[in-house]
Amino acid sequence: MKISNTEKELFIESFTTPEGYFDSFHDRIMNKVQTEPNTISASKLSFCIRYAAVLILIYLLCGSVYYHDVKTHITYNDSPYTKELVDELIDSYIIDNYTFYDCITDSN
Amino acid sequence: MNKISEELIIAQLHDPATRAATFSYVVKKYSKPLYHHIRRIVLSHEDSDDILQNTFITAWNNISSFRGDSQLSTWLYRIATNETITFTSHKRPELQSLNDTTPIAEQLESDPYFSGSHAQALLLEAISTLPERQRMVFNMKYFDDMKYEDISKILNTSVGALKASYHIAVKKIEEYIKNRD
Repeated sequence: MKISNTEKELFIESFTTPEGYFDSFHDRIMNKVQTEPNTISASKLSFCIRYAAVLILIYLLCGSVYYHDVKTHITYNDSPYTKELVDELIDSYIIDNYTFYDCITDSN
Repeated sequence: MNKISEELIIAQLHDPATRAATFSYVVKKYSKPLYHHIRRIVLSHEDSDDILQNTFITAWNNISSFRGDSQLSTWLYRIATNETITFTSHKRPELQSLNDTTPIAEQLESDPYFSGSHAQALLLEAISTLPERQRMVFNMKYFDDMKYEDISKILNTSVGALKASYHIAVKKIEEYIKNRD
């Protein structure tokens, strides 16, 4: 299906516009873009808003953890288990398990 | 207006001091071909005017993100194509909403902004029956004589798929016109 370039041009010409359309279109666009200067696009704006919302949520989460740990005076240094107590527990565990093992082997 | 190299145009578009003047040049240079690209899809002058306006406003708002990876014309055609697709998905084109039972060719012939022959109106009617993207491929290849590589960048489709799409479009149009008469 082929038509000549002349016929193609005629085809394009078949779509007419009001007189002076392209000149007035140009003026209309330039007025519009110059009264609303180069602004951030809607998609970029929604991305920035979503990104900011995520950052705020992370900040709030970290903030609530900090508050819980620091403001309520919970520190890891306040553990009830001192080193001496831990050693004693381990020793007694070993003794208890040795005794139990001993009983098992003796019974056999 | 003197021919200005594309690199210079892009550089001047990125410079706030020369942006407006350069954009004015771009609007004057590309408004007519973009208008006809849009009009061949939506057919109505009023719809084409709306979409063309949206195209250039979108281009203005996104100048800073255009780095010259493609030609300026390709970038503008891509915006115009996307704006047309968005428009037709949200609003029923004027020519098809007036009266669904009146053939497009007849609606065109009664349109004050159409001066083509019956044959031209019939061809446009046949083209309007194609799926939207296929219609765009056909128009860009047939009327604008674009290379498949350029159409590929505009529609983000492979060259092979475009060739197949064009071939099928031609067959469908020929069949439609044969059955219509």
